[in-house]
Amino acid sequence: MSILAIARNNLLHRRFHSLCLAVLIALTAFVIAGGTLFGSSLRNGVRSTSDRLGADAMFLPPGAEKELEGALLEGKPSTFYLPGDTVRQLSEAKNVKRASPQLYVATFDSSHCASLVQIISYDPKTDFVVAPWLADSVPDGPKTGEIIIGNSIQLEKGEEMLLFDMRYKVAGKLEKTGMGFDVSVFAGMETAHKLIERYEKYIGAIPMPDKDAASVIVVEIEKGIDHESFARDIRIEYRSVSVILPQAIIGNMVKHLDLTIAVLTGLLVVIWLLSAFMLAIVFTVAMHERKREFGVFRAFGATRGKLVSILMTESALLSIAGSGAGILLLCITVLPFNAFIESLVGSEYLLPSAAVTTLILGGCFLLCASVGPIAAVVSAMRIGRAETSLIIREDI
Amino acid sequence: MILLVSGLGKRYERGGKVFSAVADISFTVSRTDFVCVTGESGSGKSTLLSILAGLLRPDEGVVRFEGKDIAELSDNERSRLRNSSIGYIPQGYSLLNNFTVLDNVCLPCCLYNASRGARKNAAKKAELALCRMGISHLAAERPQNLSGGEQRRVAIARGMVTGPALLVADEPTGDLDPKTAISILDIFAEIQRNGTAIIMVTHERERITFANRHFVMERGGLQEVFPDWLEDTEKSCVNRIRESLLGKN
Ligand SMILES: Nc1ncnc2c1ncn2[C@@H]1O[C@H](COP(=O)(O)OP(=O)(O)OP(=O)(O)O)[C@@H](O)[C@H]1O
Ligand SMILES: [Mg+2]
Repeated sequence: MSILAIARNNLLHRRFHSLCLAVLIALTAFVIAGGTLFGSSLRNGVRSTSDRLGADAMFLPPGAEKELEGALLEGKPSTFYLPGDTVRQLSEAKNVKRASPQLYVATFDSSHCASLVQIISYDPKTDFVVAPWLADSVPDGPKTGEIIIGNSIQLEKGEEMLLFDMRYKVAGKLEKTGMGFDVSVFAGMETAHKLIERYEKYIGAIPMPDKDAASVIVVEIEKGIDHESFARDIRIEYRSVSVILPQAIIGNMVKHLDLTIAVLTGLLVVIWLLSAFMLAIVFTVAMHERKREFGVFRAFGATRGKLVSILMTESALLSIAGSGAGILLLCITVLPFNAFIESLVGSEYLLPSAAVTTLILGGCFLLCASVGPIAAVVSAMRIGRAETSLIIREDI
Repeated sequence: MILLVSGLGKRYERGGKVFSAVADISFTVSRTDFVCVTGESGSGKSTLLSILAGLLRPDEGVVRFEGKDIAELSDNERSRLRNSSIGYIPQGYSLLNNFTVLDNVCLPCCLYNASRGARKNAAKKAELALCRMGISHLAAERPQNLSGGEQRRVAIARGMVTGPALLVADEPTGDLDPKTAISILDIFAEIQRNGTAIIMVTHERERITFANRHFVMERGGLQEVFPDWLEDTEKSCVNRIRESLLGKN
């Protein structure tokens, strides 16, 4: 019998006791891993949103703010336009370093289109926001007649998508963003203009005011200019335009998030400590009951170190089993419903990549697998120190 | 001489009063001795044996095992001593219910830094020991399913399994019928002839005949009882020789 066999034997002998402790550790692991994963999904969601909204400011028609937010964050497609000459004026407004127009067109949920999506087209000549992250999937961007689709659209690269009775080739699929982009279709300006031509034939379609019209102008503000005052100046000068500062939206999200994550982390730390404390109490009580057993081990040649290592092995086995079970439970009960959670929480929530998720789960596993040995260390040391015949005498 | 005990004392406290469970005990045991210790209940026999087995630290005096002071050994060395040089059969129930009878007997072979090979060998040794005790058919049982006498024999097998140089047995035949008791004492006599010194506590007068020396313990003190056929002058001569031996150490 090795130490491992002795420890396993001891655990199996007190089956119910061991099971209860393992369940406690499993619950701890479940909650801690679930909480950590939720927290990092929130952080990841906000980071992804902030990365995608790379502009300093966005100009759009007055009253379209709600629609834009709906399109960007929640995936509620909409169509709106700024007239062509406004676009031209705004692109040359004071303190604008770079500007690029984008067209937002919503499809209809009908037999003419594959599904309800937001078509976002951008101008590759001036764009500085969309192209950088589209480039991860399609380095050269979509050619005329091609589109790039968001992650939640049920098509694959190389397939075709029906938009207003025309088929467009899917040149690439983006990775998940947790935002409205997941149900958006990206296209170049030429493709967009063709689409809009066809779009306007349908009942309920909003007519495009002129050929140069755009829905949104994304803007990079000159360095050193205060964004708030820039927005104020634009609003004063151009009454027929609305200004959004995406970083302000995100700033709010981040503030919210930091608080949520701080509370969450605090709770998880308390849960871990609580379970360590409970285990420590249970171990101490159990050690007391088992004094005779330990006395026999010592009497027949176990050194203090050996005794301590038998006890530590027991608690480690227990914790590893419990922690593993808890994480496994999390994987089979919660991860499959991630899409549902995403739809509940919204754009702030985005599960990290598989590798990062695995890393987080692994870390939580180790953290919870260490709770037993840490809780056992004090009582194991105390038993190790006790005088041998005094521990045997308890029952003899 | 395998064991030398000199000036041994152990005090306990009860109800705020300190008393000596073992008081100023000195004696020697040679490799060929079979020592029997008798005495009233509570006279300190088990306390003495625990000290001799290296399980309990005395408050005063020394115990030298093969010339080495047990108290001065490190935990590691003392564990090794308990494991391989001293066999211990405690008084009362001392088996572990979470192990089978065989594993209980194996335990001493596995607890002290045993190599994989040694651990494998342990099962064989344990089977042999159980066989000698006449209970090899119970190897796979749990100790709690055994009779008191069978449990005793498992404990005896466990005490002998490592082939120790000194066997310390605390009432090993207490709950055995006379026939089984005698067969066990025959085994003790046999291992004594093969070079294991034995110190045994017993309450049964008729068991003393197996021993070549007899001590009586009374309120913590230990007195050697010489056979009736020894003349008084011879007794005092033996005592003087022993005292001079103790004095040298
Ligand atoms: N840990 C202890 N604390 C206090 N007193 C103790 C302790 N252990 C033993 N004693 C007392 O020391 C005395 C000697 O005990 P010991 O067990 O050595 O007696 P014994 O001779 O073996 O008795 P028995 O024949 O009944 O087994 C007894 O009075 C006992 O009550
Ligand atoms: Mg006793």
